[in-house]
Amino acid sequence: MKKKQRKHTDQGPAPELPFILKDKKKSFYPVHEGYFDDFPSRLREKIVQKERKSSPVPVKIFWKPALAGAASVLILLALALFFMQRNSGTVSKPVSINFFADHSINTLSSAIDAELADLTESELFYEWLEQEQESLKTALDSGLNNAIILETMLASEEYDVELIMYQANPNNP
Amino acid sequence: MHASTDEKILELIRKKETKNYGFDLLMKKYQVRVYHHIRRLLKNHQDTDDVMQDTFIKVWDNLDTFREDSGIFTWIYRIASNEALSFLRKRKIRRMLSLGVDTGSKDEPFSTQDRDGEEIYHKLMKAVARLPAKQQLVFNMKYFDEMKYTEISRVLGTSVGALKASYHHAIRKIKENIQED
Repeated sequence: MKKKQRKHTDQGPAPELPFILKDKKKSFYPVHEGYFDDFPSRLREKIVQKERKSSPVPVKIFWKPALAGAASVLILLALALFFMQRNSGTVSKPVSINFFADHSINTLSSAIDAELADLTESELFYEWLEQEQESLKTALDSGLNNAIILETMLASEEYDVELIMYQANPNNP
Repeated sequence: MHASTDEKILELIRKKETKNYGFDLLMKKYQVRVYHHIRRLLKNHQDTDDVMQDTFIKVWDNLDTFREDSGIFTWIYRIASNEALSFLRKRKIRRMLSLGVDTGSKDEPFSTQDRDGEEIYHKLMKAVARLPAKQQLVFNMKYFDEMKYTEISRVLGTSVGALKASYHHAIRKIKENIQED
């Protein structure tokens, strides 16, 4: 069943109090004399003060808060950028010791390459020759040592000459 | 000066050079009604004066945004009602925090001197003071200000049906309170 809608009007029967006030104005609280004369001017004064406080202050004293504000904005921007990069995964990994090691090896290698590039062909040849001489000297020293041993053995006459000659031959095992 | 119509006052307010003058006229026209509307709720003068100032400062700050779909007085009444209710809520919280419990109204009673020798005023104001804040507002506007439900509805943003219910409850409680007293 459809619920009947009540219509609200201002003409409905108003409930009544058990008495009727003779003069409702008497319900007004007493206010000290002159309050309503003063109120508008008092309020205007307050509004002027409030508006003066919220109006822009002279530049002289304004630069300090402005500077602080600018610094705050920069810090916030830096933080925002950091978090944006971090969230997008583009932020660099922390710098590790390996990075420095790799970096120094690469630097050294580049420096050597640069030095070699400066050397002429003849210098390169002498470099090679020096290394070869070193090897040759080592070989000679070794052969000399073998000769001394052989000589000593012969002098002691403890060994058969054929055997010694056999041992002195480097091709024999 | 008080005889200025709302339209005339609003016209003055809309012009930059006469805005202050228009606002003064507006205050002078409605300050007494607004004061008593607030004071019936807050009871003491000091609190009423504070809320009066907050109300008219808000009116001043928002004059440019006032839409004329409701009357200027209805709009001021709405601001005053909200400010007074908000003040009551804050006061209640302050009392609860300082005392641990809400001790109820500690406002200035409607003294013997104030009630002009008529006991009935004293009884009525005491009974009204015992109503919940919103019911007090409805009762005051309907009974003392003799506003129509439709007007009160625009001020409080409550439906006419709910206002009628509030007013009936208020009357019933006032009757009970007076009989108990």
